[in-house]
Amino acid sequence: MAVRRIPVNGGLPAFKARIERYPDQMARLMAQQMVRYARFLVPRDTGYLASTIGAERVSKGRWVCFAAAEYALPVEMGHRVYNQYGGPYGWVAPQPFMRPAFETVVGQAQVIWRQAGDAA
Amino acid sequence: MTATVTTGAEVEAGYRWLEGALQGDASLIALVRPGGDDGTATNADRVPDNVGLPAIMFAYQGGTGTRVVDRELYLSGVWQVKVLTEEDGLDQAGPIAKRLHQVLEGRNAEVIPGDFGTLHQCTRESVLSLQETDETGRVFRHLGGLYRLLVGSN
Repeated sequence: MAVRRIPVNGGLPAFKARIERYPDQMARLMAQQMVRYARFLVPRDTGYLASTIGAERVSKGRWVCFAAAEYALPVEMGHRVYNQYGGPYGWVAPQPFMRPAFETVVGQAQVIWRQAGDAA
Repeated sequence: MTATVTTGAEVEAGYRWLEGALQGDASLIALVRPGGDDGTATNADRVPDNVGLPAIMFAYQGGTGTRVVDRELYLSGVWQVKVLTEEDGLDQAGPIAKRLHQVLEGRNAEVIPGDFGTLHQCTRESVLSLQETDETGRVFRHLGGLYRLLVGSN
């Protein structure tokens, strides 16, 4: 069996550095994709809720996606509504945007994995 | 961006299974409607305005399909399943949410009545607990969980 040797530019230290960057690249790309998709899905009235969706790096390889608007969670999970015009009170159905974005991005992990490999 | 697209039938199958599982448990229904169920103990997506609390609500939150080559195997989706009560505390919601969890957690390999498909597995992914106060000061509690269902349609 023939063994093919592939040179690594910069030798082993460069290769090690590239490998170590990989999880962070992966997490960053997944977080960015999730933010993009959540902004696409979120219900819009004034656009404020969409503007508060973001992602930030909390440590190496760990990113957090968030929606900072005070009413983000009630929109995602459904909530009680007050009718300011004097009608009956009632319940509003959930309009999830973070969970579907998360599920989609996780489903695309293989594609993102390849992108992270190219970018690292 | 391309999303994994399901046929939608799996989502309906998930709703049907949840509805059947919850309504099929007499202990749970008795906790929610001690005087007898008038068909309002469990509600899909939202609790109608004229329905009194406590009431159980379940809604699809999102998911992805798992495929092999040319066909969809199952949907891995998350549903929120919770009890809504009007109280500042957990006295009423606690026992109902506990029973609700006992009814759902770990169920697997069940044919969904009505030829809708198969429930492969149901497990709780996280606890759901929220409290909200409306503009008039009334306090409401949401207590339950986010349940992941692996469900296939026929």
